[in-house]
Amino acid sequence: MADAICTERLSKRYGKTTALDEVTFSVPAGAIYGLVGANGAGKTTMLKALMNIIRPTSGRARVLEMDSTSLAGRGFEQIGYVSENQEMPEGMTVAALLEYLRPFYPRWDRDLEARLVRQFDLPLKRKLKHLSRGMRMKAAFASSLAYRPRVLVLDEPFSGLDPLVRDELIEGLLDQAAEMTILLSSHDLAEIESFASHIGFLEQGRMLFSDEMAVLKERFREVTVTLDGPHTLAMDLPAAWLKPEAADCVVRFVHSDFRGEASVAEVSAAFAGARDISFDAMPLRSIFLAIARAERTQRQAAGDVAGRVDA
Amino acid sequence: MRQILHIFAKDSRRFWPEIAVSLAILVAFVRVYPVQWLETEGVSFISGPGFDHRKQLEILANVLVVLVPVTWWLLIARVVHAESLVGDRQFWVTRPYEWKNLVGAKLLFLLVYLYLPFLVAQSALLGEAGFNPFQYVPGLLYSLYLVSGTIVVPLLAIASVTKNFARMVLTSLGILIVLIAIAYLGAMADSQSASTPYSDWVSMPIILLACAVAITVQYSARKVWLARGLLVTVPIVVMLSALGLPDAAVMRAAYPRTNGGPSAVVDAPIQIAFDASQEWPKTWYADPKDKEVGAELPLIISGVTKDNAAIIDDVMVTLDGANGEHWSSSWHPVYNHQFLPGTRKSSVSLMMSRSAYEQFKSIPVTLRMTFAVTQVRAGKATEVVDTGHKFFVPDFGLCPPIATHWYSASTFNCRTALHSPVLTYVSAEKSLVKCDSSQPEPGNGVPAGDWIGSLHADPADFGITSVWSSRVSLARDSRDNYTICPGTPIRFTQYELVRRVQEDLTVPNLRLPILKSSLDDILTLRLKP
Repeated sequence: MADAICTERLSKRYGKTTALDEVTFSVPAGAIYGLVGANGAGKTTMLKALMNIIRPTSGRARVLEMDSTSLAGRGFEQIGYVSENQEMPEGMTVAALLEYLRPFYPRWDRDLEARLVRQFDLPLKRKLKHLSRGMRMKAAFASSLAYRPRVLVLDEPFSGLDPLVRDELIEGLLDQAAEMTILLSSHDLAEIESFASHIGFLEQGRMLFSDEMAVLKERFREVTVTLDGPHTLAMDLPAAWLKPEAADCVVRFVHSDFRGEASVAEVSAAFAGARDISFDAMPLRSIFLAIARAERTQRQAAGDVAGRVDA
Repeated sequence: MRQILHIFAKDSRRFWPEIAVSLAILVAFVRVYPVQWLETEGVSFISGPGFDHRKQLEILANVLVVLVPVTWWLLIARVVHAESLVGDRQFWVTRPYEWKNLVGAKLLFLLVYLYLPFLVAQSALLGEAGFNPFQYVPGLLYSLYLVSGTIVVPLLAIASVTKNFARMVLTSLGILIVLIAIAYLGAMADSQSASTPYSDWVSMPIILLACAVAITVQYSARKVWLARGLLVTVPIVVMLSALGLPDAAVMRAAYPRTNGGPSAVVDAPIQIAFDASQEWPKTWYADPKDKEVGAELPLIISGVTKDNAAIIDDVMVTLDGANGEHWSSSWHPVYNHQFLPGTRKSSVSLMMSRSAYEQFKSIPVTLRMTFAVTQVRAGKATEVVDTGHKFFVPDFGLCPPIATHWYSASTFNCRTALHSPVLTYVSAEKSLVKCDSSQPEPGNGVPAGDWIGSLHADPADFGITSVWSSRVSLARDSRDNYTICPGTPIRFTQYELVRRVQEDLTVPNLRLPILKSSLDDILTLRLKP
């Protein structure tokens, strides 16, 4: 499957602050890619660089085979972008917004527009400035889905919305998902986990992993080793064993490169004489936290305390 | 083109209140402004019914002259900020806008709601003033160019580098303060600067170009800081280079020197001599802080040939002391120094710092004056007989009936279309006696004349109004009670440029005047050769 979006050593620096640090990742066509990371990780900067809202300092990105820095004008006929903090034409009504945007898109589907308006229960005659946050986001969604974009980029689209609105938006999104590639950023892992097919994890401007959701979940295991007596952790544990902890007779860690029997054998060999070893699948949130903490511990150890921001 | 019209239609719908206000103010301006002509023709000074109403209309007209560009400011800000070019959160930057179409839509908006109404307003004012607007199409278009260069394009550029109206106001004020500061610094360095005929020809296109580049950079690439840098740097560089350019070079280009030798004197458009016979005892000037002193240098002017006139535009003075000291003034403008054939006494001002004066006051000096002189030649002449009605002077303007004028039968205002008149000498014979119903005898009066207008050949001057008013004063001074009687012919002689030259006058062995302090601490200089 061809990639709808890909980046190559993409960096963005603001003075001495690095917002994106040589990020390389790709979003396959048809994927729903969740870009996760803590606040300030660089998610928004990444999406803005992809949309040519800001220019990268180095590296390159391509969206639908177009270089992101040349993305403009008609290039956006097949691309949608919705952001939580986007400035909309506040003085327009919802109907005026849809009517205004319609001629810009040759593929604008009026039936779909009408369906989205019904589905989102949009008040057509009300001005955008008089809409609630949820309604504004729905209007933005409707105006970005109605032309059936091939790529839809969403920056924290569900942030601050109540669960009902969030579900309505996700439903509306998934209805169209089959015919497009979706890249969305979020720091709500449970939300992403429910529908993303791929996941990427940004931490302090660096992409710590980028994978298919199923592969990722298969790769991570929480390992609990029960021993006969108290155990002291060895200093030279494999790098893939994250967050190792020892308490009395129990040792826990996250195996970040679980490969079935081979990994079981590896752990069993490391803890010979263990009474019990369990390998439990992990929710995304736990994987995220394990990686984030391991990364921070590693960085602190390396003395790398350079400041980074998420623009 | 469809996208241009689509964006234009959106802006028209969205900003109809601003458009309505702008047009309403323009209409009010066209309706009210003609009261200014009544004022300049003296009508409003006549007390009686409607006097207060007219005064109110005059005030309103003055307010409207300011309000018209203010509404443009608002209109430009609103339409540009509708698709703001500053920031990274605007919805439109990720929509299929073609930047050229966006610029086109904004320009179309300004064309329809600013330029076109302004053109119509200017034409309506011309019609109201008695001019046929169709005869002034080039002037009207040139007026739009001036309004673009002075108001519209700079505002458009500022709007394109600011996020909202509040920031635009602050930025505009900031730029204004910087420009005033530069002008002030220039004034500090040199209290007056020479006036050359070409200064505006250079600065206006450069500023226009800078604004156009900044606007293009913003719309095509949204490089805010590059555009801001251009907008700040270029006007400052233009102003600083104007201040920094050596006066001598600029003046030499505008006023070439005549060749030396005796033939140069014969060729010169004017003979200027120092009036050694004059003791010039009049108190002239003293800086309140005692930093500058000045005197009038008495001159005798002659040598202007028939059908010609000469104008002294600027003067520069140098002093060389017997002890080797040297002092030189910069080029300073001189006003109202037009000379017709014949011999006339005149004077020009000499100003110098008190410290420089102290260096030269006790030693003989060689005074050298260099004059920037414009030679003009009489061209078309029109003679009009005042019949008590308005009269039209071709290529000059429309003048009111003189004899009914409120102020003085020797002073009247004429309306001209789009700019001040071309350089014209207005002359008439004034009656020595009180006017009666009989026609004055030719030659039985006092000749009087006044210079009006300028040699600038631009088809329009910058202004919100298209009708200009010029005062013609045939009174020699305030005690001149002679009048122009009805039926007296008034002659309007237009002058055209022949050449511009520099002329020198050297006065050796001169002693600077003695500086005297009067009781009220006004300093007096007496100049004695």
